[in-house]
Amino acid sequence: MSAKRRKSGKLRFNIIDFLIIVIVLGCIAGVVIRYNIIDRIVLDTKRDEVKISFMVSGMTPQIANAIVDGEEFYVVGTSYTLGKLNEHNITNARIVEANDSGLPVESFDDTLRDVRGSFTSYGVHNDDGFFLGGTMFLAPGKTLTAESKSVRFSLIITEISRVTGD
Amino acid sequence: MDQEKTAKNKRFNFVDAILLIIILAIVGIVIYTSVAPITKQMFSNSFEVEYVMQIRGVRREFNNKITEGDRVVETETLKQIGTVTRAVYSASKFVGTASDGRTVTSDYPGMYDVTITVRATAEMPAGMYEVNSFPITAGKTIPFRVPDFIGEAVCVSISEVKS
Repeated sequence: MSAKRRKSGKLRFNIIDFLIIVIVLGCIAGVVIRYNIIDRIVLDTKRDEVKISFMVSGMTPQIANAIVDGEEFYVVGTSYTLGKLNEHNITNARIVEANDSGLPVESFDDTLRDVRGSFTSYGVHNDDGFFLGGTMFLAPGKTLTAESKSVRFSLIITEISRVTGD
Repeated sequence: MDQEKTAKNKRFNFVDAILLIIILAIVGIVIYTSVAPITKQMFSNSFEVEYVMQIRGVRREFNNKITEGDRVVETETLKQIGTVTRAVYSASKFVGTASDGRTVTSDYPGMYDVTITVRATAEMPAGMYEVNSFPITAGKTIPFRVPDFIGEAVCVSISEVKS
């Protein structure tokens, strides 16, 4: 037997190679199933458009006036884009105080502002709620800090409604 | 020489050992992931509990965001800790002082207290109730989320459900 022939015989694909390939593929399939990698990929690519309504209580008037519609906002401390600010309205801050009888009376403080508005955002909206960018859970009651090129403020989400999506 | 070659090929070698280890590992993983939870469940002392959480001073914007059937998820560990069976919204109380010094209690305009009843399967591995390995006791503040609300509530009671 020549050295050349022995060499080609060693390189032949055999049953052991086949078994190893099957086992390796089985391991990869196991990892994919275990960590729901397919679900995550699908979640990340599925995009629903939502309207996120928010409010800010007792904001300094100068900061309230720096808020500009149409600007892109980001969630501070993360890499998530909150979305474009659709609209906002500014009112004097609502306060509740006791009157002479000890009963609550609603009044407005003209030194501070309340701001209400909404963003257009994208993510996954399913039975578990809304996930900004597919992964960051947001729901009414969530407090976060939003930042654009001109202003930064803390807000509380009051409503998330789906605009488009499956 | 051919006989000698065949005998050599049949000998248990390094590749066979690796294959055997891989196969044993796969069998081990399959047993661990499929059989272990079943046996754990068979030998566990799980039972149904109902616990009540309260949130005070929720703005009117969040009224009715927590509803029956919502799955409750603890937000630090992301463990599911039960299903909402009841959510009752009632006016928050405002405590004011009148000019004559009297303390007056009345409804707080635009603010609500929410009482949430949650049903879950619990265990008691270390003398206290645990739902999905998350300890729940009266007095504990639980950061939680449901699909339409995220916040914190204080557990005010927990009891076993008699079947």
